[in-house]
Amino acid sequence: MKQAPAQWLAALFAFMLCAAGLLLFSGWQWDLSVDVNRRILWQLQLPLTITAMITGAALSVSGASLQVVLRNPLADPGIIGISSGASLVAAFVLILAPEALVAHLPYTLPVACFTGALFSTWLIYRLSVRMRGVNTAVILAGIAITTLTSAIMGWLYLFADAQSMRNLTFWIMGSLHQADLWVLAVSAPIIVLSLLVIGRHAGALNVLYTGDITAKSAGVDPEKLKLTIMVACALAVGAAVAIAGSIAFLGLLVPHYLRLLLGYDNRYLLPACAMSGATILLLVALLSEWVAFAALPVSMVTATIGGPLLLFALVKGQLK
Amino acid sequence: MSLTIQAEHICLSGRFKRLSIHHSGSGIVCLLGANGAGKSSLLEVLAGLTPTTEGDVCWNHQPVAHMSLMELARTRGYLAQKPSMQFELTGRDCLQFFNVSDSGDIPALLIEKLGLSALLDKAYTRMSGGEQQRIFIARTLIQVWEPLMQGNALLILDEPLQSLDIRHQLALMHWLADLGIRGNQIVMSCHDVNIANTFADTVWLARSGELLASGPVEDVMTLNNLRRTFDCQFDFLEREPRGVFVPVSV
Repeated sequence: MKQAPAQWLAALFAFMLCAAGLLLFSGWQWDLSVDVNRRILWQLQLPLTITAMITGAALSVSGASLQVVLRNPLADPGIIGISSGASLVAAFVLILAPEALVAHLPYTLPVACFTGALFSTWLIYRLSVRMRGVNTAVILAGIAITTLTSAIMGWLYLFADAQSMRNLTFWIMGSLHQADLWVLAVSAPIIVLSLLVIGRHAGALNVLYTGDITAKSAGVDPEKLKLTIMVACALAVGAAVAIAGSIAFLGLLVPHYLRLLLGYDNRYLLPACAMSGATILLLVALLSEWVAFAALPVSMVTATIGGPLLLFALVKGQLK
Repeated sequence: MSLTIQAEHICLSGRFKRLSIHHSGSGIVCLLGANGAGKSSLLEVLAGLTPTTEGDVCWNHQPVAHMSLMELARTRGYLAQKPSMQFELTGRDCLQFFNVSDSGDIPALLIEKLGLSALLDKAYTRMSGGEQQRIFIARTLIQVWEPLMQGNALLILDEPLQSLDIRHQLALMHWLADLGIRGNQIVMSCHDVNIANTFADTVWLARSGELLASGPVEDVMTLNNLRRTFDCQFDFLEREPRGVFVPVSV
């Protein structure tokens, strides 16, 4: 622990609450007796705030825990193909689903995303078991999965009508403005429960840093732990992709920079990741409302900030 | 109070077959053998970390296969060979994550005995091989610190002396001998026959997945047994306290 972690956690929590408050009460007169104000709060600002918070938390915490499980600081739900797996199945549903299914899109999409995320997580997990000790192979396999899914989505564009293409663009670029409270009512509990499961294993994840056999000798079953964490991450990322599409860099860079600040203890790192990821997406949403006056594609913003930060970390030798 | 470690005709596919061990009493057991003799596999099996394909390993007549990993971890510390790390954890992190004491402090005795004070805030990936090894030995000991200080711990150490310089090797062996006298059991593999001859109470000689000989050091450490174990001729020089073995030809 490089700094007093409790103080950092308190500061992050306060900062997140401020950002959430600003977003929640942005864009309407604070008078709930007026119908339009109620509508803005319940139908726009509240879903937007919840979406930003749970999506940011899900991606950051998943990134942090996957990095430990796969023993690679470069692991990220986007890079290893979990997000793209979720997006791909969602794209299939959007473009090729029959009319009956399209009518229930808000509920079928989360299921599609979970399926895609679970399948790509299973694939990555099997590869990590098969290529035991070859950490770069898992990342390369993830890049291959991401490339393949991008190619398939490119082909799907050929068969898409105008509306489907717009929807598909949402999955690729990410958006915080799509989910309504009903979709959130399905996805949010899944994300929260998944993050609680991951958080409950924070101490065991600390032990896993030193390798499987050492973790086992300390009383932690590494295979069971990895499976639990990967399923929880798949559910959290699948739910996050279902409500906000694919969002880049959050799962990679938030844990990396927080480790420089707080150290490696997951009992502090994971809550810090949850709050920081939530805060970053709240700030992106505020940027959209206050500066751009439009619903900015989230991945465009996170990649604009994250790309240079990643290059900086590589040049500084912080990421190996 | 030491454990009775018992293994009757245990097999591990591809490593060893129908191997039997009966050991009780505190002190140091040194497991010697050539490369590929099955030393690491045997230690993993005795530690309850790898299941046998046949036969049971028992601690105090209780099969380790029936004990939970957490139950085993309370009194048994295990040092793996060549532990690796992908993250820039500090020495302190490596120890704290395994520290089960209520206070959460790293014991001063551990820091002093293994010379860790300069390593606690150093990144593991920037340490030399010997420094990393000392941190990992400390990690093994801190996990069972309380039983270790009470003389109730079992330490299973796979080549604890690897990468250590002579001074640290001797310091560690003297401390382990002292911990053995206090009632702890230490089962360790090593490649130095003179370390085994000087510090061990019991020696196990392994060759091609079999135990060639096992028993008190003075009975087992014979020129003939060492020749059969290592395919190598040794001379014996009379020196205090237990003599010195010198390898002379292959």
